[in-house]
Amino acid sequence: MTTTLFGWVTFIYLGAFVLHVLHIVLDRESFRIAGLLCAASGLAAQSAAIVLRWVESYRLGIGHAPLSNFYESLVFFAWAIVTGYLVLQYRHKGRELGAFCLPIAFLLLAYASFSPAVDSQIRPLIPALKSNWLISHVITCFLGYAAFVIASIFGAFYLIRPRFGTTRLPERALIEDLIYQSVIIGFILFTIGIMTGSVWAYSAWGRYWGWDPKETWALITWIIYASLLHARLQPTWRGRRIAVLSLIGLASVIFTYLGVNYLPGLHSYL
Amino acid sequence: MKASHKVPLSRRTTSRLLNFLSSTQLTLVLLLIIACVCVLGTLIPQQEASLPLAAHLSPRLRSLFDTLGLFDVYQSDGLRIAGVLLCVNLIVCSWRRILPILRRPGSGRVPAMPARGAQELRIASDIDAQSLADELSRVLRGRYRLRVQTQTDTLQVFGERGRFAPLWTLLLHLSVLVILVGISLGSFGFAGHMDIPVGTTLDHVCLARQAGLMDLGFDVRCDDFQVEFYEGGRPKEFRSELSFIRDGVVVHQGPVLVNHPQVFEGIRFYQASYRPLMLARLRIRTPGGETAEHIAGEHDLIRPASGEALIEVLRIEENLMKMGPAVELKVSTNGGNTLMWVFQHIEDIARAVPDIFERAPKFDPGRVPAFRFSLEGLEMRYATGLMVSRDPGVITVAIGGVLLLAGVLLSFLAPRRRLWIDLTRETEGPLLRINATSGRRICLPEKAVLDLISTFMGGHS
Repeated sequence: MTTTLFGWVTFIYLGAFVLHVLHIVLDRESFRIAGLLCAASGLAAQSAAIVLRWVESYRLGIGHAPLSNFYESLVFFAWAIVTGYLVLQYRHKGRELGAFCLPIAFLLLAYASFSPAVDSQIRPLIPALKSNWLISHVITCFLGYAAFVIASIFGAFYLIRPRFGTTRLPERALIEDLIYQSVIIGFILFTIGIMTGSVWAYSAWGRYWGWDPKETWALITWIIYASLLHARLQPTWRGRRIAVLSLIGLASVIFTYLGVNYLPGLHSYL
Repeated sequence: MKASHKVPLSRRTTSRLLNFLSSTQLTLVLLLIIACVCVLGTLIPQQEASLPLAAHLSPRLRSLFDTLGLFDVYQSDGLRIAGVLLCVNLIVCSWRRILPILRRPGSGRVPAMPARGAQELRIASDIDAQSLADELSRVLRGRYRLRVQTQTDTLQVFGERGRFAPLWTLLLHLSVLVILVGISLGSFGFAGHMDIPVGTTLDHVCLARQAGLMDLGFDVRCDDFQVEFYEGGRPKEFRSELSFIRDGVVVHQGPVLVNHPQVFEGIRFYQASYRPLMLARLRIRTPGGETAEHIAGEHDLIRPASGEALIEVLRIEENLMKMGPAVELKVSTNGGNTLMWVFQHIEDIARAVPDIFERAPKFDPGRVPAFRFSLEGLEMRYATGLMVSRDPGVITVAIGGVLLLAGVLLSFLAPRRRLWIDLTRETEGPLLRINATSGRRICLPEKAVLDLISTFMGGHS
């Protein structure tokens, strides 16, 4: 039942995206508000579906948080991105962000819901995943990923602003500040994610760090964002270079999430 | 006339060296090197997994890979040097930052307002500098340390909050240092594995990195192993019941499950794997006439109590050459090594083939002088696979982790905030300049301050 609900949410996000694009093209505020309401209702429905899936797993006698396989991670990633977008919308009134966040959430959910390669069934947990650290580790990592995705969208804004027209996007100084703030949020969450993962690895595998490809790529991602935070202190590294670094960080996030599945390791989803 | 002041060459060199060692550029280069090494480590198979790739490489390329440590990058000298340099970078940088923070007096020179991002407001001439100062003091009291300088028609306000915030960045940097120290301490520990068949006892660990055996100094017995599966075949739970035995006495007992290790004498035992195992029940009579039963799997060593021999189980066969269960042994005595097969049904075989020992001397249970071997039977049991480790650095790493978390949260969520408000008189009229920083970043002043100024502007903004 919940998979059907997630399928519907996919199209709600598509609708919200289309409304945001119409807002940009036709420059009518009503489309932006409609898109915002559409995205908010999609998020509410998705949150309800996540809770229902959790309840359903208990009814099946399995009983675990819906954060344990590739399908559930895609769903939660989409949820985190839309949540991040709506929080930013509320705090900064970023007008154009929805047109970039929502298609990512749509694609993640569409891949989860309609790809035959992704198993959407609720499966029982294997012994290694039976840990209280599962929830905190996965939630903090994916919220961190979502913040990094949003930072990279601002990075793209910064780079395209001169070609896009100055009225549509915020001032470059503000965009740079938003990159920095998003990276800070992501960095804090991702640091907590790595640390909870280390504690979990210590209790499950007997070592807090094992150079598993996922762990190593998480470290690479962490180093890239640590470099960004340090580079920003250099007068010559402001602006464009920070925007480029945020996009390099996104590439590392994508590889940490998906790429390592093609390398042998303990975190593989495939 | 200014007196020329020359800094000695050695001081200039030291100063340059310290500048280099504490520089953010060095941090960035080292982080880049560490990231690149990590990328190589995930793309090139490491340690034992590198053997197939190494076999495909030309000898020259293989030698180059070996020299550069590319088959074991995480233990390579390059990564160690980068780690040590990062430590030096952190120490020098922290040392240079801590002194000014501690020395900073509360009533010293007011730092200059940053020109970047400063807002300039041309205002009406009737603004009262003293009442603006009073109102600002009222709004910001208790939250900012304010320093106000007023003259008849000019005003300088400097407010600072979180004066010790740079200490949090310092804490963050030092926590990385503590973690690196903890990782180094870990090299004084060990990690390895034990495969213990149910009902048997083991006193040594196969080390992972050093590729050898390590005596634990006590015995570990696996009393039971249970594996449960869900419908559909996915594993549900692995559980080993262990007894820790010292001098023949059980001193500790407990279960080991995945995510629930047992700790005994500072050594942690984790449930890592399991495998079904064929075991042989052998009865061995030694030259002294003592007979004892031993249970052993393939590659296990048996040391009879009398100590005259060392016996290794080479192979266990359920039905060797259609003659039933048999075990191949290597018996090492003072007379040398002897290979032999021990059959469970040797009497039946000898009855069926009377000259069997002449045709196949290896089948003779009395092949080793003064010893007598017999196979009582084979049995299938589970062997539990335990990961065993002791890491003396883990407490240090944990402390470093907590400090890192505290440092990250405090330095990013409680940064030092500064606020400048300058009122000057110019020929065009009074000019109000406002700026604020959060950490090293220019930010907007607080809403209360902006509202207050807006009120004072009285529509002249």
